[in-house]
Amino acid sequence: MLSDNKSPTINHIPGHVKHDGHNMTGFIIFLCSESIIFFAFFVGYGILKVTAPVWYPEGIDGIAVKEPLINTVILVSSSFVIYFAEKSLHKKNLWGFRFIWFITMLMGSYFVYGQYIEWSELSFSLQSGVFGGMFYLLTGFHGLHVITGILLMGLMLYRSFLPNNYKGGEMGVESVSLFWHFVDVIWIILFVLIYLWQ
Amino acid sequence: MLVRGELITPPSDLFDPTVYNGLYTMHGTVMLFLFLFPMLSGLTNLLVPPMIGAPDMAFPKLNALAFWLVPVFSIILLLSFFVPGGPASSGWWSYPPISIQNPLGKMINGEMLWITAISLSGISSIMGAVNFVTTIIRMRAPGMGFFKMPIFIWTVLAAQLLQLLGLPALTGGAIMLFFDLSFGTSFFRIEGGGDPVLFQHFFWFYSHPAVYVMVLPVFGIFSELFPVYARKPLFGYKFVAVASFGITILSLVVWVHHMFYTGTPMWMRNLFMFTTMLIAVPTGVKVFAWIATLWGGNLRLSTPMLFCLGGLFNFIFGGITGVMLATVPVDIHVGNTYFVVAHFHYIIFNTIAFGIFAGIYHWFPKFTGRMFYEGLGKVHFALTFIGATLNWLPLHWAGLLGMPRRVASYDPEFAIWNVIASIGAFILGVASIPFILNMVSSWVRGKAAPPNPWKAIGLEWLLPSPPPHENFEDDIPTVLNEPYCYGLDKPFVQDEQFYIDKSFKKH
Amino acid sequence: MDNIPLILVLAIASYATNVNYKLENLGSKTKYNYDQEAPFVKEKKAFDFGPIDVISRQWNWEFIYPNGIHSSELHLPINKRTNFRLITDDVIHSFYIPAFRLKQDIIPGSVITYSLTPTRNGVFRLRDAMFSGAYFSQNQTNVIVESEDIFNKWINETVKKEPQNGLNPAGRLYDKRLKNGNRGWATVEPAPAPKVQDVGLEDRPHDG
Repeated sequence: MLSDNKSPTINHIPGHVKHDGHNMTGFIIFLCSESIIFFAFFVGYGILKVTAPVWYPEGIDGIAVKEPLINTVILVSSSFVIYFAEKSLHKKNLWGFRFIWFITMLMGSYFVYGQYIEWSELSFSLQSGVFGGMFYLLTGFHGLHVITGILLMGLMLYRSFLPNNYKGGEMGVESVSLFWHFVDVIWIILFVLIYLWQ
Repeated sequence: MLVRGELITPPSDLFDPTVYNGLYTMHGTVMLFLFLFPMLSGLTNLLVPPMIGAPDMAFPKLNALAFWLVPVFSIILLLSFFVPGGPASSGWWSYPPISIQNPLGKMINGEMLWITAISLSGISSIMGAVNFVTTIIRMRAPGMGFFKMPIFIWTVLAAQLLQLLGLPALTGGAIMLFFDLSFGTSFFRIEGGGDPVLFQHFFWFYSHPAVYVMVLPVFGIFSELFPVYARKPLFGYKFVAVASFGITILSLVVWVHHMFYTGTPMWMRNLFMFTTMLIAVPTGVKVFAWIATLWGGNLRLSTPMLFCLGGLFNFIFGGITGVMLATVPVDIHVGNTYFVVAHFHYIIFNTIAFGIFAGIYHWFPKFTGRMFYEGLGKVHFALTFIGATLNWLPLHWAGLLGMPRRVASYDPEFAIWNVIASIGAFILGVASIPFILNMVSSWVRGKAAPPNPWKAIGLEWLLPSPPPHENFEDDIPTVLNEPYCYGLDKPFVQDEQFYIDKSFKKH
Repeated sequence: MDNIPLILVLAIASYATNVNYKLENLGSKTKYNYDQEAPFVKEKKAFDFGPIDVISRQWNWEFIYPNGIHSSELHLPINKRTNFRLITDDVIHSFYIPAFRLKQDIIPGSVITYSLTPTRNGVFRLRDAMFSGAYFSQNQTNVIVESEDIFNKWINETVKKEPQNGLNPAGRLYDKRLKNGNRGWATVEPAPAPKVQDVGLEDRPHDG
């Protein structure tokens, strides 16, 4: 075969593949992987709780459920709120989207604030035995995710003011919303493990 | 080589045992996280886009970030040699409580830097894995259904999914270990009610699959190269492809075989013995398929093929010792001895590194546009094979006689095996000279390589050598058949001749 | 043909399971509060002798017999199923006697019961097989299997002796290191030598 050989396939049609929309695929894969870290922590929590000879630090035999429950309700309902924000965006109702999106951010911030209040009122610390460590590790690691979610929402809110931002699709908003649902589901499991299973 | 230098004589006379412990810990960590993993990621990164006809990885920026994390964590890890108290010295497992003893009580210590480096390496690998999986799922050439993908792509997909599923568990464990070490928590510290064995579960849940993460792409390389150099279609393509996923799934449920003697109850030991044994089945399918591919083939014993054959030979041996180790009563005796050291070096060096060498030689012309020197390559193979065999074969006997691993000194009855092993290690050291010489000089002034020097089938061989920046650019071939139809009259892509001509023109 | 490996490995695994049940070395593993003494656990099976407490440390071994003897070497009566309680004071160690082909890790915070029947007379090495820090390779001692008469004689004579410092090669090496200017990388200090009635012999010629 010589390089200057006139090819017999004169009617050759070039093959094409469109390369876009990978971001969502990548993000979902990432979330699956991320959930395994939480899963590892949950399993660790379960095993230690069942087997540890001492569980709660001295002088403590449980933690209050009432305030965290209010917090939980707010965080879980914010998952519904963000759904409506997304819906408004689909309907091209930009101001509606911004408003509801901002409400979600406020609800998330309230959750973080509530968490802060709870932490500051607790009588045990990170070093208080295996329960203390587990409690702060789980709630702290989850709290970091909530804060990340709020910051990402802020970024999306800012971007909604850029002209032509949604020309290429609403990938950013969809991903952040997915992330928020993820953070919510993790919290529900966490709430059951730490607060309800005492 | 320092490690083997120390072990050439029974007592620890070259340096203090603490130094030996630090060195073997760093040896394991550096070889795995700074050598094998980055080498394989690099090779996979080069090969995946051209093999599936993609212009690049799905997320080039993420890829760059993952890449640049490698020097960052390498530097962190190597810096730990210079902190007071020396580097981490609790083995690459870093089991607590030994790893959280922190004798000097300083905040910055070798162990802390070690955990940081390992976590960063994990983050880098996760980024890489997200990228590979997305690229393979979404960016294949037209017509390339899953059962027309090269086996290498199958194995990369299987391996990277394993990273995504397993690595976060290790990261979780590492975070908890870090807190125990630096912030006084007690997840694994018994003083606060923690459980040191829990870490072992986290660690092995990832670190056993980690071996498969490394060995799967090497299986891929074997599956690519045997058909090329035997001029025969790959035997049982579909079985070999699916077996990769069999390995992925099974490898997630075998980790307790590293913990047969940690007080694991009987039922659990028996259960994990069965799952571990089962993994021999998909692996056996692959081995049979390779042998059947070679059977009656027209073998070309070039350097890449020699490395593949050597690797396969060693793998069969390492696989048999693997089944031995999976057997609880045997493992109870030889676990944590030199038998294990010998076994995993047979897998990690004599199989994985051999496969990597084969891959490097095979695709060297494609990516550099130069041919390597065949003679030097054969010298490299001969020295490597002899050195590796001398190094690790005798250690099986030391282990069977009861020499525990990780010792800085040993009883005189083990001396003979260690002397042979040390000689082997020095030969292995010498073996790297022809390799480096070959790579450097042929890259600089080797003969120009044609697009397809081995007459291999595969999308990457339809590209000029070296391939242009965006591989096929606007004209991606449409795949018709799986890439192993050697000697069969089945075209690999539509308008094959057109692309072959094109690959010459660019050159 | 693809079934051959499956059948092979299943056969090996079933046989091995059988062997496991025959050996049945491992008893129970009981977690206990670190501040308290290791608890005694009632065993389901009956034993001929024991329990002997096996205490492992960084880096020496100590064996405490039911009648209160402390020893640096492990003396065992032949053909008697002997029961052990495996305890560690610090990190994970492993109770490994290559000649017996048996190994069991010792986990901090847990007491593990273990049993075995020695069937041959002789002196065998007991080696720590789970990496335990700087002087890990020195963490060895001897297991002496002897006939019942000799064993009983040893018990009766040793119990009368005064306790003194037992085998502690790591401590000796550590002192040497301090004398040479404490070079090398960081390590925790070795535990002090145990107070034992039978000091044992470090370089006793061994059969395996």
